[in-house]
Amino acid sequence: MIVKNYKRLDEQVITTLLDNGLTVHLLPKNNYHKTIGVLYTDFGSIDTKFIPKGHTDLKSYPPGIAHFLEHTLFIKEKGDVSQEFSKLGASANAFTSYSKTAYQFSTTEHVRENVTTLLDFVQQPYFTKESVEKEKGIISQEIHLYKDDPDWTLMLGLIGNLYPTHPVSDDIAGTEDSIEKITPELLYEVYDHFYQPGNMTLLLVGKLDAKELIGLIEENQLSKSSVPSQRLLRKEGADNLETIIPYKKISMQISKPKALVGIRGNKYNLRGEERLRHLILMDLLLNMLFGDTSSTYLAMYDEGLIDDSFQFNYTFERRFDYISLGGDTSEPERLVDAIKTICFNYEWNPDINAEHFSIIKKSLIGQALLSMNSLEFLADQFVEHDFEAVSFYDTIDILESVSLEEVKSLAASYFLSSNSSFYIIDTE
Amino acid sequence: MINIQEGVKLHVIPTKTFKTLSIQLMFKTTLKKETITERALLSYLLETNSLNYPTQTDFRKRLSELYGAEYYTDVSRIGNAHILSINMDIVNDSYLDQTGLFEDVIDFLYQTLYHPHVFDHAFHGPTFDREVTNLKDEYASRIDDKEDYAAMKLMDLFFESGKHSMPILGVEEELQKLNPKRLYDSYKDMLLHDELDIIILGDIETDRVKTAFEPWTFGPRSKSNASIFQKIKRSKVMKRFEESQDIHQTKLAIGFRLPVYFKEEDFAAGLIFDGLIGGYTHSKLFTRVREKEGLAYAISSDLDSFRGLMLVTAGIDDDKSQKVEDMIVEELKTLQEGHFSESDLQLTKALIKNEFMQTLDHPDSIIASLYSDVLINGPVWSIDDWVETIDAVTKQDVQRLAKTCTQEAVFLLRGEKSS
Repeated sequence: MIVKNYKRLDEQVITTLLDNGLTVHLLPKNNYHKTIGVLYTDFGSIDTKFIPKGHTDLKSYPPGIAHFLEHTLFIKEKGDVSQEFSKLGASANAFTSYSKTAYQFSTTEHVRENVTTLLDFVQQPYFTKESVEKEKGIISQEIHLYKDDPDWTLMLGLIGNLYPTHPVSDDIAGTEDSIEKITPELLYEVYDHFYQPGNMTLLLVGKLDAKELIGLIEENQLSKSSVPSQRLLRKEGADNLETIIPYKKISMQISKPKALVGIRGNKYNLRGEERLRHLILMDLLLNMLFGDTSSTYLAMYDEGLIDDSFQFNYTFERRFDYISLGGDTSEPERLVDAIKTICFNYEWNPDINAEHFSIIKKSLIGQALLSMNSLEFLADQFVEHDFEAVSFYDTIDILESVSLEEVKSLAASYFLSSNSSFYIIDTE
Repeated sequence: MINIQEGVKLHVIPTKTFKTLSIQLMFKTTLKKETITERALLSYLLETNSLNYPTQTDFRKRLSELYGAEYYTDVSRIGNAHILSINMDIVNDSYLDQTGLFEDVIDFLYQTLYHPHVFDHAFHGPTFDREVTNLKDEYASRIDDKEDYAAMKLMDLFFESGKHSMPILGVEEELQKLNPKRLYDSYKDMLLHDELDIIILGDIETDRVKTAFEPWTFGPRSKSNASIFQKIKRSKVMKRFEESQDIHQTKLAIGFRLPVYFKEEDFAAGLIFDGLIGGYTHSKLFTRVREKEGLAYAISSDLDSFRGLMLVTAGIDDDKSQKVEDMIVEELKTLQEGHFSESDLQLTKALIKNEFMQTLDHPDSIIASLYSDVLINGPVWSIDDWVETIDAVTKQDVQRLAKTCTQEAVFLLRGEKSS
């Protein structure tokens, strides 16, 4: 068991690795009333190719299978497991991302029972023909829901351009055709591969008694001696990152056109402290160039090229990383040009200076402290990134130590026009 | 609570839970159709710049220097009250190697409110024009979010195009009538005459707060005597409207009248009824429409306890819309006939109490809850009061209340591409 104390923040992270391979993180916040528990596996929508047990070759699975499994795991012989949580005064939820699947409860009472329920329901799959068929109807409604969301269409469009031959270009939920191919047998194969304790983590945040809970979790896992205790070997084959589609334009029934510029990176293999530092540098860089304190932001805003919907994001996942920038605009082509000019001519950008750097630093220190109010935010941070020896709580110390030179060298290595693309949705 | 002036109150909520201080200024007036758009535009302008920080960049740089202080304005309608709020979340400087951050922030707020970007008794023209454009874009984009759009159309049916159905950010016809001078006049009117509640939450001494607000000058303002609750009468006919769009999913929105008002009699029964019909995963609608029939991904109900109204929404296949609509009516009948188990009742109570306890972990919800009490000028409930009130509700109470729930309006946004 490792206990890490962050004295300046008055926070603590307790980590322990169980004999069966399950990692447990506890973040006690005993001034709060709520406890959040998340059990997650390092398995998401991009993991559609692997060598299942008893096979020797790579096998492909239908896009959307991770998300489908997430839905179906809630259904047990006695009905929906959400109701077991309800009986314990908790609400349950789950989500699937590109590289993770997470199951979560949130409660103000019966923490022990809720932890047990979470572990048991995720570790005892029950997939039947009947439940799989019914879930197909619900998930196709979910797919429809997103199809009518223009911002979702825009983001998927850009990803499709940046990664035309990579599984990230498939919708997380799959398509109506792909989910039609899913069977209980396929779900069991996927489950057996990715839901081994060695590939999973249990995170508890909020009001909690660490010692008591670790005892409970250990006992629960010991009682399930049948589960294998190995770390997962990943053999999915290398991703093809050669092609990129430079741009695409479609039209939809919307009120104002939308444009999004993307730049693909190759930093996704960074680990531990290096990864955290990289994410912080990227945050500094993008805020200096595109944040609402930059002169270029104001110029674009005053010209009417952008409005409050303008956003920039850095996505960092297990097998890919990219920047996306854009929003609603009356002149999509001009906005694309403006964004590209700022990125690819950053050396001459007047906003890259020591004074602006120190203002952004202060701002990000404040934002990190503000965000620590939210247990949900903390839980999401820990699920999204495993920084190994460090954690999100090290953000402020790292922010104080980074230099402007590091930000500049990140820009030099990341802003390559051959890695960029854009996607436009015009009005009809 | 401290009375600073007639109609101006300061509330300090002490807590050590957070690393932050939250500051909210609530300007309240009586809801009127004529001032909705005006106040929406004011909230946009007050979020953009001020005389000392005349460009958006200057303004935002100052906030960044104040350790990324979050600053935002908002307009809302709570029953018959119309509220413009000025909100800030800042780091508690005990976590920094700097002191006086709170005082600097209050000074920033003072500059923003008492010295807005005004010349010659009118708001700065270019800022005004740009924010008008932004608001227009906002109106035009209403059609993009299909769920919000359906809910907005339903409100139009339900309240028959009045001050209660007008979107809280206003409408284009009204926006056209505004100009920089007229808007500044109504801003002065707001500063002088609106009831004002200043709420500060966090680990800070009341004396420090009082001292920081000393430079602020407030004149007296009269209190409104109008009832906060909008109590609607039953409509004689069920109102219904349909519209088609080129989308994949049909959106169904149904408005029910439910005479339940915040902290009045039947309030707790109302929360439970709403939970039983569509608030949770064990609710009647979720278990039947989603789990049993697989007809929807999202279906839920929502209670507005300042206007006695319950909204049910679902996203469905177009050819199943009548079927789902019938099911919703049937499930209401089921509750009216008392077909729900004691265990469902207990489950709903447990979840409502859990939700209430969870609100205590969010500064915004703690402030919202205090402000709701200010609005009704009514009883402050302790945690125990809440729990006891919920626990006291019986199955008969819920059934009796369910019988008073009536369907008033249906809006259907039909998806032409729906399979």
